[in-house]
Amino acid sequence: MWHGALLVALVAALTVSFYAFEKRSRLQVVDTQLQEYLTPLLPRITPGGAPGLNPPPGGRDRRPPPDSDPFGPPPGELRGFGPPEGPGGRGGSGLPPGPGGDLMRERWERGAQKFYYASWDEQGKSTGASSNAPAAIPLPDKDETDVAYRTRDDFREYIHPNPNGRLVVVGTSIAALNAQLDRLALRLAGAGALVVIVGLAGGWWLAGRAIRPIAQISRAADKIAGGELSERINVEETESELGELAGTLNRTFDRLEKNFEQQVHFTADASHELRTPIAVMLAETQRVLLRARSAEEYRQALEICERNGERMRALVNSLLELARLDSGEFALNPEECDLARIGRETLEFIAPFAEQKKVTLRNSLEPVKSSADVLRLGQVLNNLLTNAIVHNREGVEISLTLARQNGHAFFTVADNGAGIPAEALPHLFERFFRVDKSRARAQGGSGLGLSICKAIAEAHGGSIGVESEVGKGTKFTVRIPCAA
Amino acid sequence: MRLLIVEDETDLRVSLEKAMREEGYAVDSAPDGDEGLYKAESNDYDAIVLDVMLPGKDGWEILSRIRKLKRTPVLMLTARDGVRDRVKGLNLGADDYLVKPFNLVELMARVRALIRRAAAQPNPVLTFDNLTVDTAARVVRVDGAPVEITAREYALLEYLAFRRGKIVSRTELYEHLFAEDDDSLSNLLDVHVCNVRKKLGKEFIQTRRGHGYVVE
Repeated sequence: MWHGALLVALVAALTVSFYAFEKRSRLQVVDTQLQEYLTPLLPRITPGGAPGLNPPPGGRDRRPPPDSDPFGPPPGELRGFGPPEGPGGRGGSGLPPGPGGDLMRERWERGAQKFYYASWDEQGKSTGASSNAPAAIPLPDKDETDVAYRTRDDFREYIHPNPNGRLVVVGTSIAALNAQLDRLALRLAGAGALVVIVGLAGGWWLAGRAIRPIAQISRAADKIAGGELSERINVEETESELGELAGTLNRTFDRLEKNFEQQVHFTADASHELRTPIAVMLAETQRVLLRARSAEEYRQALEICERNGERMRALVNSLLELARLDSGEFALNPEECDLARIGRETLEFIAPFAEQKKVTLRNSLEPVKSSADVLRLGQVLNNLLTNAIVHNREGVEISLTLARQNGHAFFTVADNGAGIPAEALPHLFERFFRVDKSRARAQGGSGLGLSICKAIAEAHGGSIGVESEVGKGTKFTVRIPCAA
Repeated sequence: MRLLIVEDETDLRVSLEKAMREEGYAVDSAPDGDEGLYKAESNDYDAIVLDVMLPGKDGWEILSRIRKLKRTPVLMLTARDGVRDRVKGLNLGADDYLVKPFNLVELMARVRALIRRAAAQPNPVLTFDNLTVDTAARVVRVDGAPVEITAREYALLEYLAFRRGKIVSRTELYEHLFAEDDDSLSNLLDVHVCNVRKKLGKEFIQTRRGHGYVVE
């Protein structure tokens, strides 16, 4: 809105100053002519000289102009009453005799028609005026004598104070000039209004063109904010820089949508996993409470509730752990340690379970100093080893190795068991992913173990990977950066 | 009445089976989608309780396959309570929808209502002269007095009562009163029919020799 006001103000200022400039320069021309008329006039109206319109006698010397007269004798270049250019010679300080004098006289006579004068003595008493002077020329007051020029309606006058106190005013009608200036003012106002209108309309159109892509972006953003996550900005219609911006925004939206979908998926899975044990506990207790039961039936029902309660606890713990690891900061408690020790301790911890499942555990642990969260890293190894025991037949061989290479420590957990189908491998570290849904459920896995391992490895600045072939075995590798 | 319960969560499936048997239903169950679909296609169930998230074929797929062959009422169970899921289930032909965790008594009531509706008997109380069968309370009254009756006897009576005036074959009765792993000796049905006649009077269940039984 203020752009429009600015434009109007600018055009108005330009128009007004142009008008003022034009008026001033035209008046300057008039003023110069007035001065030029005054010069030959003065000798004629000085006391002694006959005041009137008698043409000056040829060849008579003009009196020198008074000190206050800013102009000397009229220079030849000025329009008006300068001496003629031509054989008469250069403009001098007097009217040259001969044909030049005639020309001057002629000019003077012409000037006398166009200009008028009036004079007063030191007492302010009128001492004379030309016959063409308008009626009642007011006597200039003290202030006006300083101004030297004055405009009275359609008259422009030059006030010439004489040192002896006499006042001479020469003037001319500027009615024609004023009329011209009025026409100019009208034309300027019209042109200004046109400029304002064209400027505003053009600006509005241009701004609209520039804003359209931005409006598009804003619409898309609004829709996305309103839940239409698949909404995108139409890039083809936008111009280069904005097109790039739109492209960047679209790519950002893609990423956000993917993250958001993962989050939605995760939340749905988590709520499913939490609802299921609750459903079991409720259904079982409600069933048992419908009628009187034997002690044995109550015991069985309570066992089911306990089992599912434990399952929920494990699930909630895993979810909290993932949330902590997701939050990044403060997730780890790193300390300087020997990674091989973590390996040995985990093996000792899991040995009884392995023995129970008739699993052979081998290890080859190279001492590696590093900064790591001992508990979390032990948890990763424990998880991988437990998986290897649980998901394989009895009697499988499992090896844990630790080696250092290029500033990284590599833990591997390898087995010669059943292997994992190739189509499952890319999803293995996804939350709640299970290779065999029904079997893993029966074994009480939450489907979060490997995603927690991944999160812990990544929190250490490392990574986790898997290689597997059905029937041959599986190898998990955990990479952790270590001191050189 | 014979039910199929398809649910992969063992504890929940066993709990539902027990609860429904105690309600007098003959119950079959399946722990995964493939077995569930096989059973649903090869038997005539009075209702199916179907979990959505199943290993193998999921609940949606089973539902749409069943609908191609049968009009068996299906109640979907799911741990997802998104409106989209509910709409999807109903659009695929589910008759009802319950979100886990559910109330067992509500589940039972909804299954009963589904069976009633499928038999075009929206009124839960069926009346035959001086005898009423209250299918909601599962009580049989003669002249307003409740009659002691076993769950199986009640099931036989209810099945015939829902099909009032229709001759029901012995095979159909066997199909709907006994689950696949029940011992269904050939004369078991005769024993139940005999017991019901003893309790409610000889004329209530009539024998159409060579065809089956009918309640008028």
